[in-house]
Amino acid sequence: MVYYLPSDWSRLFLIVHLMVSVFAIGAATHHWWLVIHRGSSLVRLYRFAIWMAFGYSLALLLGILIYPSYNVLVRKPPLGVLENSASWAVGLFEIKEHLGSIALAMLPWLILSARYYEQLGRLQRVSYMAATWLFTVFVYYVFISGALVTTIKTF
Amino acid sequence: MNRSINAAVLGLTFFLIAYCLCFWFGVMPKFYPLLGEVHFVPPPGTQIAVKFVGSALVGLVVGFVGFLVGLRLPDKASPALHALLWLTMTGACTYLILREALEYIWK
Repeated sequence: MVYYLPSDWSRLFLIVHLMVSVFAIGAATHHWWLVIHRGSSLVRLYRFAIWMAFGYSLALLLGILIYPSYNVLVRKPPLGVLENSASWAVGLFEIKEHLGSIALAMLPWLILSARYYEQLGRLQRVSYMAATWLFTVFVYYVFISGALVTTIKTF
Repeated sequence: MNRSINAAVLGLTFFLIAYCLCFWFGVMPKFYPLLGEVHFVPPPGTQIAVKFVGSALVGLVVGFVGFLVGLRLPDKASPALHALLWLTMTGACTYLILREALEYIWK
């Protein structure tokens, strides 16, 4: 048995999801900025890594709550129309879900690297920087593609 | 320090492999524990395969196993683990993006 929220509840959760996502993208951008600028405060780096992880996880959790409603009411027939009318948007959304899941699994690595940044070797710092770039790109893609699909069809 | 980062790197590698295998073999777990007690409306028509949440949960469990294994590896394993991770990340992202692009965007 699968449950989903009715459209008015889904709309409410979608708005909260959007607000938390803005917070998460802000924290991720600050974290990225601190990583690419040498000489930044390590305390701030760790703090923003924690805020980023908190905000992103919360945004993802809220997204999980409305995902079944999206499937039933927006995407799949008979109630949903998106799959028939704009399958490319469904494709973008599916890619967003994959990248969002990978970004979630990247968080422990990013937090630990920020926490022990001073002790990282050269290779680990390069890897951390690449991971930060990748994570930030993922988060921006997730945000933009989610907003795009919402503007095409929503609850 | 190195060991905890090695553990996180190996955990992420395990996650990526398990997550992709769920999709490759069509194993789409259909459990949805978060919504078990939030009942609003019964779903119309066919059952929905909640593939992302299920596959991600499988990936996280396997990733946690990878994390525990990584804690036991020596510090000098770090370069090999990072190389393995980036190879896996490239392969996983390519596979997952192409999979959805071919199915929905370029069909």
